[in-house]
Amino acid sequence: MSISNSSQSGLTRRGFLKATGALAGVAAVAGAVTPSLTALAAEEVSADSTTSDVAGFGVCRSNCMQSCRYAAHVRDGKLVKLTVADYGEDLYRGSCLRGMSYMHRIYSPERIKYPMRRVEGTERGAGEWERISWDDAINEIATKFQSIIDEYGSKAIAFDFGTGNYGEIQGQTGIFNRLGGMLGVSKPAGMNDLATGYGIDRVLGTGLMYFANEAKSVLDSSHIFIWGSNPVHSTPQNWRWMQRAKEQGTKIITIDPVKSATAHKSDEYYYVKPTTDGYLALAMANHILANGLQDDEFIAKRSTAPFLVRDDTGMLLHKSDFEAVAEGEDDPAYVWDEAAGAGALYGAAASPALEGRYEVQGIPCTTSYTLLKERIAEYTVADAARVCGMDEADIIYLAEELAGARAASVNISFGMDHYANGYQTCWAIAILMSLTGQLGRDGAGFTGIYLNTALALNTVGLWAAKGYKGLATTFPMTMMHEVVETQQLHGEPYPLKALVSIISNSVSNWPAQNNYLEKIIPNLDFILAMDMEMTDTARHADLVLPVASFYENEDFRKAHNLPYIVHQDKVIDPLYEAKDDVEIASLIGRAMGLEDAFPEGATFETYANALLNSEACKKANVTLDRLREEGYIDLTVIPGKAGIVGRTKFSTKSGLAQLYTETPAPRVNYGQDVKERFAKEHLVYYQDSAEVSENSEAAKKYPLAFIQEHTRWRTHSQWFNSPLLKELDPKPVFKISAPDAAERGIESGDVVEVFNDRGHMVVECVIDPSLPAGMSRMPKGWQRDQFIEGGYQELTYPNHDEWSVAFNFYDTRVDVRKK
Amino acid sequence: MHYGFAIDQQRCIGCHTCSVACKIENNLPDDMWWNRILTDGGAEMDIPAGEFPNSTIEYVPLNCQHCENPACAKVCPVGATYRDEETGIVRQDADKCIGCRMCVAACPYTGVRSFNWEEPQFMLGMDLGDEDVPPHQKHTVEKCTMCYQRVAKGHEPACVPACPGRARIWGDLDDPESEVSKLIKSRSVKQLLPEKGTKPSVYYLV
Repeated sequence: MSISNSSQSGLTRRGFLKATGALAGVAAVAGAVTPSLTALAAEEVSADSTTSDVAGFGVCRSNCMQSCRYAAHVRDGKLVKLTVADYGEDLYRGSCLRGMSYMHRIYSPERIKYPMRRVEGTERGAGEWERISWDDAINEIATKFQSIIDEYGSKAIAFDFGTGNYGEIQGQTGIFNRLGGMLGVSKPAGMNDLATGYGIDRVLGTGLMYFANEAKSVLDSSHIFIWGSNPVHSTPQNWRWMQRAKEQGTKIITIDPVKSATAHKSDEYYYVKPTTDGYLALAMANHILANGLQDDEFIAKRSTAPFLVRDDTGMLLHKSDFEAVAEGEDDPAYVWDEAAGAGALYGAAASPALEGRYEVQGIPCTTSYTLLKERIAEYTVADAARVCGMDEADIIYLAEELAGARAASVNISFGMDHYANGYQTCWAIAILMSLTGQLGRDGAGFTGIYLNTALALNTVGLWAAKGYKGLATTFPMTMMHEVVETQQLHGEPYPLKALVSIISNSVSNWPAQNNYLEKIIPNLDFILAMDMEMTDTARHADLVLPVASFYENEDFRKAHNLPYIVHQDKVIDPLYEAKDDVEIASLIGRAMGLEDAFPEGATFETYANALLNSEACKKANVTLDRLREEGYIDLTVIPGKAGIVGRTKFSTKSGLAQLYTETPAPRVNYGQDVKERFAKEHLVYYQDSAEVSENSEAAKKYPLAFIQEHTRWRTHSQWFNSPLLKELDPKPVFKISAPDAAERGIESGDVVEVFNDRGHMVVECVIDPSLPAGMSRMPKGWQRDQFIEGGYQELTYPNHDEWSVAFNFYDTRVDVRKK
Repeated sequence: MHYGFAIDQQRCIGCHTCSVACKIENNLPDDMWWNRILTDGGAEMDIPAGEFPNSTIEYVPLNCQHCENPACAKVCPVGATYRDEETGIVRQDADKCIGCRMCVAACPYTGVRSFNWEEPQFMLGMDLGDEDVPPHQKHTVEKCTMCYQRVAKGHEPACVPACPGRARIWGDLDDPESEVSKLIKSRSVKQLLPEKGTKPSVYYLV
């Protein structure tokens, strides 16, 4: 033990900092004589990724999506140090306390060492395990799978893919998809972080994850709006660019219901009531349009403003409304050509009318822009002030700053995403950016997680072999508990007997934990978990397999949040009896008779070469050899330029920003009624969130909104048990606002029970002045056994919006009492 | 030569990556941190001071200040802690240290020095970091060495390249052309407890 007070809190500081005065501009540096160095190397200092014990290089593959690259220092066969490794562009060189201390997960005394079977006769989760051999484990898995397939069909096995590894071969989209696809198992449709992209896609056609400009694009922004995200904690490698922009004079404005770490670092902070951001965006648009502050040129040239919408059907007026259009042939929309005084196909009109109502060959139509303007007129600044809990003057100010900005970027992640109205919010912000022309050019557009789309990999080559059946994504994750409990889907039999957890910790990271524990776990015949540590999920499994860590196998990660595809060297052998995913999937595959798909002798290299066998890879000269040799390959599309979404055109059918969505579709079709809301989904609108909204039923009973903070300590639940990080951050702590604490007689350090109808947790609390009355939060990632009682994921609800089909972790209300 | 740090508090996000890099590079025993990130705000880590929405928070990364006029060196009865004239690094020789802890009491920067009351323990049961790090010894005082083993090989201290915010700048304070000197000259700076007369080699860019 050491005598030093290892406390990282402010207490120690007070002892000596109080008297510290700032000495502005002090430049006095003593020592005129500079003796020559003898003991030290006289050469210029350098980073240390070139020292002799560097055994290779790797890329952190966790779901913060930051892709930091490290040099792995190995001594006596052990990974003893990770140091930051270079990227071509120096400001992409990144690191964090998790990535840098990854060896504390590799060598943790808590590492899963051997295949383990739940002791027969004990309850799932009771914690009694027996060590078994790999042969026995694989044999048992294959026997269980085969008997389930024989009796119920292969869909009775569900593969749950999580986000614990973004390696292309060993990770989320990797080799286990080949096994699952060859067997034809069920794969509950993913629901994490998908509402943001779904909402923005309505306007930009960017799919679920491709809405963001490259991180460095903010250097070209005059303004950065950080809206409902907290990059200082959750994406610090992106924040580095924003801080650099700030130093160059870019104004950073944060809009958030809590004064986040990022808000504290910003030039300006504006509070908005949680879940009302969409209303704010529409009211800003209202002010902009009412005062002529919109970007008319962008609207005319880069949006679908002039597209005519049929008053009778709500669909666009197309060429095919009047003449036969062959399948596959372009079917453009009609606009009103003011010069000709008649309808004309877009592109053929000399002066398309942006606004107005027209009749084209007897069909009454309205321009998309007019319909949008009418919709936006419903959301006034005065109403927004009330709904959003803001000053009218602030809403007007924000609108005018955005509209007047030379180039504004909006940093958006998955904060607003995590509510039932998340997609409407992000849709509204995308509309706002279209009206202000803050898209598709240097410094303008969304930022967040940038995914380079330039390099299409041969996923089919990796996933499919002869006899491929595919993975059945028949229902979303939030319906899993219903399906397992009832063994039915929509009233039809859907036997589901086995669950395989692949780089996933769904017990901890799916909402409504008690549903998981009470409806899923007890009603399955077989649960297989593969992990490095005993997560909530592994603890409830029947069989646990030890998995290799990032540095115990080879892999590569494609351009997640930076413009490089990055290689991972295998620098140490898997510890104990751990195996990598390629080996585990192959063993199970061969044991189930899939020798053709998983031939003996096929290795990482076999599958990597299959995945890299694409036209795009050939064009970009991306090969495994080159990755091994060079460590990373730059995929920048326009040399010297940041990747910008929609620089020349957007990915919508028309190539334009869509002000009106002609054919809205739910994100996942699982048999829900998609007709009822179809008409409503054409034009952006605000919808109260299901629970956090003040108008909800829950609000009458539970006064506090509760969010799961993404802090620096963990990535979702990864690193939950790092002995090193636990020295700094030893236990779960619930954060409550000062007024809410005072009302309940709660003080910092008290143990409290946080509860709602779905569950509870008993945990220490701290009063946090970052929080306004009515907001509460706690850092996520802690496992159930780290709480005094319960756990935070008991508090979240198991429902989803039928169109965005996303998890709504933050749409949660609770109350708190002192224990 | 006078090595020192400039720490940019505008850039620092309190992420502890420098602390973790230090802990691993120097193979620090359990519960020992030579470089800590103090919250300048509320009483608890990462908790701001004040009331919403006017709360404030800053971070003060704190390690040995490598003073030009070190209070620790004056009181050490055996010369175990001393300022290395060649580098300006305040060094701590564990082989000479008799464990009297006079330096701990004399140093005004509470907590930058640690004492091994017991045989140091290591959570992973193995050595991490640089192999040239001196062993940690029972009944001795230790602290930031400015990664002397790295500086001797021409590298920066481990905390510097580790910083994702590029908030830590290190170099020769005697060289007016060094980045660290230029920053200290061009920015508003503060030092910790200047009235103690210790003349720290760590400058905070405010």
